[in-house]
Amino acid sequence: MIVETKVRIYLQQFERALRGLPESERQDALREIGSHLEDQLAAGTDVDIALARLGQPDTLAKFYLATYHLERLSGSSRTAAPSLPSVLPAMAFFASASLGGLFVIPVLALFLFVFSLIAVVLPIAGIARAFGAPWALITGPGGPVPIGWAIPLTIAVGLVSAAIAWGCLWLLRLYITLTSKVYRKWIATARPPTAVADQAAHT
Amino acid sequence: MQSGMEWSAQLRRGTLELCVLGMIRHGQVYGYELASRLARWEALAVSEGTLYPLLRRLSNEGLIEASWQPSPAGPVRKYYRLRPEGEQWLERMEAEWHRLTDSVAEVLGERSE
Repeated sequence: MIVETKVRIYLQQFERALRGLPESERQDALREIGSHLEDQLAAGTDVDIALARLGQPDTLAKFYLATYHLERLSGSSRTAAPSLPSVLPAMAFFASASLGGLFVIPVLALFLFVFSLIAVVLPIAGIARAFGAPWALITGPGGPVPIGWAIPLTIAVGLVSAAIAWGCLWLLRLYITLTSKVYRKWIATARPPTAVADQAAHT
Repeated sequence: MQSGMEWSAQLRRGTLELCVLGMIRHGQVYGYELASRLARWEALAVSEGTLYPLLRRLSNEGLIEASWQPSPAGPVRKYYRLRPEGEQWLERMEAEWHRLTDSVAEVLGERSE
């Protein structure tokens, strides 16, 4: 009875920590870890040792999440331009995964947003100005910009903003790739926590 | 001496994939079976939290495939099987592995004539 409760609590925590994974993958992971524990217990392993071998449910889930996001990132790296839908969820995960990411990722994301906005809005304002819209008064360093200059000037600034936005996206991807390298290493080198304890138990 | 630990961790990382694929080669196996077989060799023992995400990655990469099936003993289990792509990959890795270990053994003088 106590054994079942321990396993149930572990799996509940694991499921909660797996949020962010697609539902089907989440259920699959849950089922697999559940059947692993069943096998382990059937083989006569003590429930505490069986759970300790899997590690903390949060850590185990992090391995799954990192694997999933790394997969998506490397899947999209073949295309020259980074695609935003593939970067966003990974961004959220890696931002929450490290202290540096907590600062770097939101700042870059903010820049990305602001400069994208400028790149879109400014040329529209320039065109509106050229057609005499009174609200679109564009002021340069030397007073209001003449109507004839409105379109070329705003498009030029818009293009520069677009380039900066693209640069931010590129930096974001670079940062995530570098962070994910650290993760990859971390995933691949984890040792069984009870290897030492087991040896002690056998002697 | 932290770099020595780091080195052996790297070494294990590279070989784990090879070992897992090698164990799947001879027919379908399930996760717990893999974990307990790997645990027989202290040098290969990995955290199970590492093994399962690795299996997930290998199947996403198309090297192995997984299916849920009832086991002879009763409970439904997730079985893994090698795909042709995995077989090719394994053969290449294996050849590379032997080439490397033979050379290293020679360099270290274990096979000096």
